[in-house]
Amino acid sequence: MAVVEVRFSALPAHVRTARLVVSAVARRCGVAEELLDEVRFAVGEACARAVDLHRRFAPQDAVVLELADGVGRFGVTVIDAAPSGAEVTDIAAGEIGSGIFDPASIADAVPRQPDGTSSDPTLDFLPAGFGLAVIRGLVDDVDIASAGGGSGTTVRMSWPVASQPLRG
Amino acid sequence: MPQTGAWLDQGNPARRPDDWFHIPVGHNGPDFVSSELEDRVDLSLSTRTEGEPPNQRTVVVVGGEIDVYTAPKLREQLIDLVSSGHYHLIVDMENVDFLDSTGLGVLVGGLKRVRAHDGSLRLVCTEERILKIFRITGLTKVFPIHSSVEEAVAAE
Repeated sequence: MAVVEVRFSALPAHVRTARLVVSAVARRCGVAEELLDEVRFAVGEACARAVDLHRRFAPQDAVVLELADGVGRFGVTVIDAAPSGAEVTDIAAGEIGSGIFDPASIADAVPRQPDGTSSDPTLDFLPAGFGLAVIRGLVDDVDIASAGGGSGTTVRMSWPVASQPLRG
Repeated sequence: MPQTGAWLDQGNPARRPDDWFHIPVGHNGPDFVSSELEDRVDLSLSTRTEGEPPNQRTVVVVGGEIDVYTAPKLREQLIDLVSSGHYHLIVDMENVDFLDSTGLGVLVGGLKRVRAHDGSLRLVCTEERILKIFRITGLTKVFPIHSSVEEAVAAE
């Protein structure tokens, strides 16, 4: 099993780098072209979530991205080091497909300062757990678990490998 | 961030031939030009108006990747537009290559801001990979999504 591991500081700019690496390695491992967008979107979401949590709760720690081509699957693991419970996951997996949340709750909300000058950051954030819900909605094979030891979440995803990986 | 005027005053020979496209529409209009010059690799933003008052629409053309790194720039643009009195926005996402939940959050924030002024925020998107994100999250029920700017302008 070949492995690529990337550790990066929790900077938003590095999430793009992570996506580029994942796309390159997935292609090399033989993931079908039509699945590459799904890989890119899901891993980008997982890394963005990890970076956001680290910036708030563990700014000194690196986010870990592991890529492996195992038996017929391309596996991606994103590990954060944020304290357990830092992110309240209030979206159940079962809600996917019918829409993650009640659209009316978003559409009807009104800014606190109706003059439009509000820079209230809460306007621009979706419910906690939204990123994980997007990942669950995108990827068939996904496992989200506590990393153990009271801190960190491990997001494991995998995709089928259609063709023979490149050698050499 | 250079001001629009300052940039034009430099007599830059590379001044865009379609500059009229980027002229701020209000006295305190956002700095469209400079925002487009920044980090064009990651995210491009430009703004124009369509139609005549009172049915004028402001079209924000977004290109590239809307992610945890670039979304703040889009948020800034939307806040600037609403602050300067533009309440009917059309976000053209035809050239968007990537969108994560941070970007979705900014669009939802924009929607909330214009709604506070009885405004509207419509999206233009035909890219299946982007539409899929809206479908998964149920946001297709929140945003009107059109297949062209013309269609979005004609709506409502």
